Amino acid sequence: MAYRCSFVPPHVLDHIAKVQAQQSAEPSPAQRSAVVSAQFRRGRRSTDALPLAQQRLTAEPESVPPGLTVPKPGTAGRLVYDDLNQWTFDVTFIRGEGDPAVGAQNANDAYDHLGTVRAYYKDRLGRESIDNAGLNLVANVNFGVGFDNAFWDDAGLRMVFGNGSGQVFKDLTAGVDVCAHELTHGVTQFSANLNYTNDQSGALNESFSDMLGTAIDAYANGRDAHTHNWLIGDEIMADDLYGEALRNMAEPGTAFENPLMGRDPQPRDMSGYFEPADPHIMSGITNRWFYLISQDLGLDAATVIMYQTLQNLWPNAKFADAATVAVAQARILARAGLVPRQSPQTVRGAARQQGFW
Amino acid sequence: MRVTLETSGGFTGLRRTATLDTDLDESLDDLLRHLGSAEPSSSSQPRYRLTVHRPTGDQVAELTESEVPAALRPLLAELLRHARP
Ligand SMILES: [Zn+2]
Repeated sequence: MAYRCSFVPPHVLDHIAKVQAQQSAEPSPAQRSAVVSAQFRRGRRSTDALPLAQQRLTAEPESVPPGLTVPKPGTAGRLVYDDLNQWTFDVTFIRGEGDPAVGAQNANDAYDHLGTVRAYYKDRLGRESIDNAGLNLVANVNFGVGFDNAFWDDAGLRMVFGNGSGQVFKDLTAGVDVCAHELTHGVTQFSANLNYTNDQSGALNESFSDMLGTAIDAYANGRDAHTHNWLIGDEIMADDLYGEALRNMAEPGTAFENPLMGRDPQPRDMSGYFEPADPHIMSGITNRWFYLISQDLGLDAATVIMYQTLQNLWPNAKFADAATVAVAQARILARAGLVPRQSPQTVRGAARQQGFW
Repeated sequence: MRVTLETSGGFTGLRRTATLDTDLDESLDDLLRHLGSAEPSSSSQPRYRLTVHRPTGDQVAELTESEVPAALRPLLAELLRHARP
């Protein structure tokens, strides 16, 4: 196996990326290098990592039933597969881009949610799909048996939904925030590529998915920063857990407490921070940062600032780095008249309130 | 053999655990030993940490959803059915 060597030490590339992020709205070559370098570092540990060139295409269906449409690669087209309750991916291709609705509600919901997320990224943020190069959008429904989760498969570049156990969760296609959160993990993979580790980089990776996920949920339901409920996962709770949620961005740590889920472990701010911690625990700190910014600037302005921040961060970025880059991006966007003039101060003030600036 | 599962990751991120006493046939036993030597990948996928409590000491295997081998599914499914916060 070929040995891939980095000539510039990773921490130097990361530092260059950090300095340049403060000066520009577009990712610089050094930022891209830092991302690619991190992918190589990861690739070295994993024996089955695909070469980068092969990672950009989704798999094509092995067989296509008559009448169904397989979108051309790179057209941001949708493909929905039914996994027939097996623990494998892409079992049966059932609906392609533009094809009529099928009999199953969860397959149609997945198709519609992929479309909503795609439209938000394109119309509001100018992004062409996950990789900003029109990557096709693949969803798998009915994965496994009673599977109580959903995820972005970062190796296969697909979205996977379980049916839920019916005890804790119902079908995970039921909420658009699930799809928006998971596809945003894909966007992160193709931009900042934050490490998914038990530290602040992992928490930021998780938090950006909640930020974009909730913004798209609010957009899909016609809500603004003040009328939105700021809950993640409230629409997928099983009937017996109606009223509970997975995360509360406005008041982290209050989303749930019951015998099936335990108690929401998120601290509200840095006074409750510890390390190592699961990314889902500390993500609440920056989730609330986003909530506070939204209350002052509105959801659209807060989201575009965070999206630009995600484009300019790097794999091992910490909360303070996110604050620095977000302020720099807020200034650039304010100068262009795209966000309110007081945005930099609001971003700093909210970060100080959360204890990381 | 006593086996402990700890879950995390995916959309829900819920951390749940289960411990079961189970008969490990030779091929499953080999598989678990083999998995224990692999380095866990960094990803937001659902993650399973399996600890086999062997007479010689605990042996840990950690893997993400898309890395789960088919032969491990029945044991994993049984553990997941018993998983609690
Ligand atoms: Zn996530």
